[in-house]
Amino acid sequence: MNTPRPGRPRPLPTGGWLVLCLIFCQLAQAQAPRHEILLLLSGDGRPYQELALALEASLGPTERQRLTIHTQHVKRLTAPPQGELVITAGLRALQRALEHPDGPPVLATLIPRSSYRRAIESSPRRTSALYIDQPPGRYLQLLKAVLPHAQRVAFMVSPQNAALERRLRHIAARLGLRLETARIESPKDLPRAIRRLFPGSDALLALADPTVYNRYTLKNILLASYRHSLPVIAYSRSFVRAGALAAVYTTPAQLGLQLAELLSQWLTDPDHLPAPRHPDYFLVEVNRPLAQSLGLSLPHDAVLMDRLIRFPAEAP
Amino acid sequence: MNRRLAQILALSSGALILLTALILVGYFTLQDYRAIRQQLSERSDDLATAFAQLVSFPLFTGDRELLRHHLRRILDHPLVIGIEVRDPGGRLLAREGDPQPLNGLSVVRKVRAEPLDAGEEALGLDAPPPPTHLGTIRLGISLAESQARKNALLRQSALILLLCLLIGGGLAWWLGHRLARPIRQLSEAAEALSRGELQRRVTPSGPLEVASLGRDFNAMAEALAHAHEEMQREVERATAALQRSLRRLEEKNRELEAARRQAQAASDAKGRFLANMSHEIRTPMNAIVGFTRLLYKASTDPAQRHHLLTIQHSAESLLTLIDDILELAQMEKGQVHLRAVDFELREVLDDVCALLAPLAHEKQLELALLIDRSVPEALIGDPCRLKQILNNLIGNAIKYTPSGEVIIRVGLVEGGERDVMLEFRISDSGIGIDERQRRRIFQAFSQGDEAVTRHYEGSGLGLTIARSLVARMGGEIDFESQPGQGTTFWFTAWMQRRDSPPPATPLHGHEVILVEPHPVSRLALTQDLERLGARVHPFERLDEAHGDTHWERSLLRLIAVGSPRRLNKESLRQLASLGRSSGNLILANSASLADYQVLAQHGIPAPVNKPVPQRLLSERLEHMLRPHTAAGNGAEAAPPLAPGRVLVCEDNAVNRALYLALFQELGLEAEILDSAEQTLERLQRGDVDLVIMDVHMPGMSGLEAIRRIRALPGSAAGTPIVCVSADVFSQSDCLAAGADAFLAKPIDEQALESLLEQHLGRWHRRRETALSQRMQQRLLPLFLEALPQHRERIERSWSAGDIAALRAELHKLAGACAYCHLPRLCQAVRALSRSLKRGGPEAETLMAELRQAMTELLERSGTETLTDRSRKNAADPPAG
Repeated sequence: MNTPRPGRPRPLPTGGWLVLCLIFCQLAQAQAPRHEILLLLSGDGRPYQELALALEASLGPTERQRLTIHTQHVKRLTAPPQGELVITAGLRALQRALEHPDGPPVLATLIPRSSYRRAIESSPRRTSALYIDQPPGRYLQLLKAVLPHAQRVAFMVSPQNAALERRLRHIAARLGLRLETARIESPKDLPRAIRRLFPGSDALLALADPTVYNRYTLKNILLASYRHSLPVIAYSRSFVRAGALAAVYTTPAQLGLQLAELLSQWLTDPDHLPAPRHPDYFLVEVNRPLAQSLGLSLPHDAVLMDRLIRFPAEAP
Repeated sequence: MNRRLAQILALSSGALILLTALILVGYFTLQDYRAIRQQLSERSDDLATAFAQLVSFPLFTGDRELLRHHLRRILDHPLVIGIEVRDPGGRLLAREGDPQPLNGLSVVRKVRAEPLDAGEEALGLDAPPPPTHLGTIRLGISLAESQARKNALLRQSALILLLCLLIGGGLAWWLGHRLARPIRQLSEAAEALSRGELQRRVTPSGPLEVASLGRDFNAMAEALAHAHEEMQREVERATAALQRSLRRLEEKNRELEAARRQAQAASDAKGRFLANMSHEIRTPMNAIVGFTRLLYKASTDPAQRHHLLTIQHSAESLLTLIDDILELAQMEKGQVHLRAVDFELREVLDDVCALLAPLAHEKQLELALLIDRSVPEALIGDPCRLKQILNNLIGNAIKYTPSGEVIIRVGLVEGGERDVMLEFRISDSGIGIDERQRRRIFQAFSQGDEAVTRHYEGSGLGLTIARSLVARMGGEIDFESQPGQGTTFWFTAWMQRRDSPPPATPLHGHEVILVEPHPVSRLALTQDLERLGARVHPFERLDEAHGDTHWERSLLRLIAVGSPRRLNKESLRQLASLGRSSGNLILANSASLADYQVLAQHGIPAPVNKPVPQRLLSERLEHMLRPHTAAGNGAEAAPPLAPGRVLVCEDNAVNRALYLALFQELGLEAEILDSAEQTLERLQRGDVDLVIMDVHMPGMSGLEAIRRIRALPGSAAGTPIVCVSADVFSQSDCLAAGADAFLAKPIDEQALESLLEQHLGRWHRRRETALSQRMQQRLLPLFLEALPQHRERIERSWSAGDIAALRAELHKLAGACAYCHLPRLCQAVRALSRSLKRGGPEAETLMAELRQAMTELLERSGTETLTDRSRKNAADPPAG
């Protein structure tokens, strides 16, 4: 159970990251590293770059002297991953790192909790993770902060996320919310679920679940929510931009920062990996024009952040 | 076809502009059309995409009401005339309007959810499932708007085209006008120039080239005017000269015409003179010749007789000369017409030979006649003219041959079915003609040589006349000659073949000995005898024949000698002994009294003169074959017959006396009357067998008299008439008037005799041999026997009115009765036949006369003896 640390700096501007990076590289070359670490990226996309840069930039002088981080793309990987520790970014990098039953311990990040669970289910390796998704309580906290009068919360979930639903229902009950759930096995089930859940609900809680929310279903679900004047509490910034009312999320840079802290902790005891955890750093995004059209008066972003930080989300 | 230049220019430039405008406007219009279509299709696509998005949500949620609401709103779009939506299974969910219009587009689009970034990557999530197919929409797009735009485009194009046409047309018209006007002016000026307005000029205007053309035209017109003036002057000069020559020519022409008229008048005068002279000369000559002949016959003093003979010969030559001149004149005027009458060629040749033989024999020449077997005997043509030619040529041959022979050969050159071409060759052994004379020989008034002319008298017209006659017979005449060796004159002539019974062969099966020293004559005689059917054994000399085995076997022996005067005593004795034998016949070239005297002294019977006429030969030989009848002498042979009655009509007293003397000589009874009126009167009394009518008579002319005689009633109209005139030109008039024959003055004794023979057969019979009398005696009973049948047939045809059959029957009867010498019947038959031919009204009377004649004949035949009947017939009394 991690406590969010208030007053953590926000992500640096890109130029600043580059300067830091150059300085660290020279320092690292000055003293021979004692631990070899492989950072395996699932793709070339911006989130991975952002993560890698943030990790490099967030290492302290000590860690820099003792760690050598090799960054590699999963597509360019020819031999089994080597080193004392493999950090994987994304689901594919994790799956690739786990292909061999023996190998160095793996620290997965940039991956939702449900995906991580499914990936390591049959692997004998030592693994740990820094999830991209928030602890479920943090979403419900946001919901309570934005819609203080909401009681009935619609929730659509695929069978893969059944565990999440159980955890969520538990927390919701504690917060005085009634979670109306619909199981979605394929996108075809969506219209019926919408017809059933949307009328009479006060909000829709949308959590990362590709079966339910993907690029092809997103628009229609949002449209349906408008038709029922149903505010959507979502899990990403782009969701808010598409039409959700508010979202709480963690950026890859924030993950990189927290990863640097985790490595610093691992150096003290390299034989033990820290336990899997949700990110401590997060951001809140609100669609104010939408709120206005819905006739809601929302508190300021800082107030909302403050409320989420002050009320712990849940136990891990 | 000939458009004006302005038109051509206007049309071509207008067409060019129009074409360009058409191409451009067409191109851009097409482009715009394509753009409009493209736009429409793009807009349709856009609309379909937009509407697909629009309906994707109601499809996603399955909200039918929302769907219909959307569709209704979509239908409000001006382009959309229909829309329908179907689910992925194809079931119709909703429809508005007509999504598949006939006159419009139809666009189908699949409806899918619109992708919207949900930030999966940032979450490191799995790839999302593929997008769901929500359904399909079909849009019906209206074409109305694009059509309207197209129409507007078309209007615009048409407007532009019209504008181009106007501008182009105006431009072309202006161009054509500017170019064509000066050219038209030029053309008009050129036309004026061609009409002769040489002063016409043009004002050079228009484009540079045309103006230059105008200036050149002016220069040309100037030159033309100049040349024209020059030419005009030349023409005037030439015309003046021409007129002068024309005037001279006209004067010449007038002079020539006058000369021609004078010549014509002279020629006519000559012709008239000749005709008059002939008449004037002939009449006295007639008297001279006739009386000389009578004197000659009456005189016994040899010296006197000699003088008379000389007078006669001279007169005859003079007459011949006159005849020749007349004939030539006639021929030159083209007045000679050939006749086409039936004749026997052999008779013509025999006649000519008989006439000329004495001349030849006088000069001791052998005259022989050779006729090819292929030559047909019976012909149609003009025997008189043929005789004339032959006379001339043979006469010439004898004349120009001092010694030797004259041989006449007749051959067939071309023998058609009907037309035949005969060739006559007269060869002599005379003095010949050289090349120099050849050219002139057929020209009038020329003879072979002046010296010869003096030696052999003659008019020199004979050959010219002969040539003309031959040309008229369609033939040619020419000669081959070697001076000193002899001459062969030959000519060809076209004749017509005539059907005739095959000649009789009375000597069939008999063998005949022929002795003839002259080879050609021997051949000729052999042919003649063979024609009569005899088998001939020819010998050259008498002793040869004597020695031959056939001598005794042959019943007939022909012994020919040359001139009796030239025979020696031995030969004469031999002939005398042979002549007494009945089977021997002596032939001789006896020309003069001297010959006969020689023969008579040696007791040789009168010979037959060579060349022997075929008929005479036949009769003599046939006679010799019947010794029982030949035994008696000629005095006993025939009973004297009453002569025929001849009526002579002649006004000239001298000629009347001559006729009287002639008829006495011939032993004929003649009544001589001096006017035509008297003759007509006498004829009506009947019993006249022949009329001799002089043409030139005081009062009624001879021709008029003939016409009246022919118009007489009864049988008198059929009396034969012989016309006599000194004017030989009047022959055709006489024959046309109805005369049966023509006799030219002076009267030729022989010609008169032959005419009388022809028309008074019974008179002739007095001189005939006993043979023909016997023939007649045999024929008459046969005829009388057949007469009733004749009568019956005639009666039948008469009552049936069958004129053709009647005439055919009459023709047969006429032939038979002429042969049997029944003149009355003959006359009746002839008169009826003539009347039927004319179709006259007197046929009834004539038929009655014929009936009577036949009845009388038949009645008498029953009571009289044959001889009596024959005699009676001869004196057949007139019916009237």
